[in-house]
Amino acid sequence: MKEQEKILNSGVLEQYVLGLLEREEAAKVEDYLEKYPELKTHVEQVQEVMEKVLLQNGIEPPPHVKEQILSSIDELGQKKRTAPKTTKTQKRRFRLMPILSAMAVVALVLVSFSFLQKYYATSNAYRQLEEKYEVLEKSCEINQAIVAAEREFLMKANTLPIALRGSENTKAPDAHVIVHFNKEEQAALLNVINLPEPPSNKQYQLWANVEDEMISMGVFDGTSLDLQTVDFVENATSLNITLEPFGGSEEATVEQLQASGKV
Amino acid sequence: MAEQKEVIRWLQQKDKRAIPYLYDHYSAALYGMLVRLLQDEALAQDVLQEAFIKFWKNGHRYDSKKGTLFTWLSSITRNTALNTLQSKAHRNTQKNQSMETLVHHSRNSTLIQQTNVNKIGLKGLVSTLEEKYRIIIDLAYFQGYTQKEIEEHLNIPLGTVKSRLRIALRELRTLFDYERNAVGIIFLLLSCM
Repeated sequence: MKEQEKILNSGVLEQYVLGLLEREEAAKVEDYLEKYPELKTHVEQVQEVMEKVLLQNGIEPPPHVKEQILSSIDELGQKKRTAPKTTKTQKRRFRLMPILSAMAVVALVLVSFSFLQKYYATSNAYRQLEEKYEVLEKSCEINQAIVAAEREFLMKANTLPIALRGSENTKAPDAHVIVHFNKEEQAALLNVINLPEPPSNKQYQLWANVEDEMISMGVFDGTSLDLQTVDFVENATSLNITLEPFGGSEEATVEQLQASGKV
Repeated sequence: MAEQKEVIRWLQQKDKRAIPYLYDHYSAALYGMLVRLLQDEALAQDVLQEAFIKFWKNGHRYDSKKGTLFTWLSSITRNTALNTLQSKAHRNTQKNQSMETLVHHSRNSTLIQQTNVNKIGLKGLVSTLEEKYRIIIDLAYFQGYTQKEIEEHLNIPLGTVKSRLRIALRELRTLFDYERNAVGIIFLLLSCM
């Protein structure tokens, strides 16, 4: 009997296929298979039969098993790829950094610029307010000085108030103006108590009657509540108010007499 | 088998398409083997997963000259299951020893106990075999018995185990060829009609 026939009939090839051989015996069988192609063919036939047997005795695994297996293999692939992946993200982060810092710088510049603008605007407004305050302070000082001076003037014993009133014969019967008159100091202050508002092209003018001649003491604001300085005229016997064209007249328009009062 | 060649190429090139294909075609056969071998469905599922991971990791090592793809898959699956059984039996032995100092406790006895509890019968061609042939294939292939364990379990000498195994497989092959031819004849008949 040839060696290969002996082997074929011994059943060792079947043992080999069914996994009943120890490692050493199996290795020996594999050597035979290399040596004798007909033994290899026989083993393949037995394998084919066992394959058939296995397929016929299959049991479907529960449906979740497939997913489990596929995902576990997916994870394996991912794990393998995580190493280069991290370097990739690192690289990407690395490339992202200059962009981010550039953006930060731009943002910082923009913010600083807007703050700077606000600072200038605020300090400008502050300076304007300061200027305004100074102006107001000065004008306040001036006004205070004026008021103090006026008060001093009015308080003097030789300052006489002359009341100028309207009458039935004048244009403004209810007119009432007081002129504070001081002959010694040669000064006069006018205080409007009640005068009709003049037309926009007209102005009130104060006149002094000196020996029946009307001498201008100047134009004044008929609506102002302040004391108004007027020119002093000596030897006046009476004071009169007329309504004159804007800027005043050389000679009094007698028909436009509003009020008068004796000195 | 052009399709199978493609799958082998996928396996060798670590193409993800390989795994669903293998699963759809072979998971039932492998799982059937595992359930019978391990007598534990949850464990069988774990081992099936472990085996598929091995297919994926070692796919590039598969050599079609050394056997069919299915033989490669089934032997990996089978070895994984046997390793699991061994480590499980080892753990059990250790546990029992520490508890009751039971020395006489091999994988053999645990297996026999387990198989008696829940036995799934074989189907298909193998079930048509005469009992004395069928049981050898069942014990060896589906229950992971070693040569020695079969001898002890069936109380027959090694020579008888080998000859019965050979006869069993010859019978199976004959049945298999007959079935294949029958299918061929039916197709032939159908095409003639």
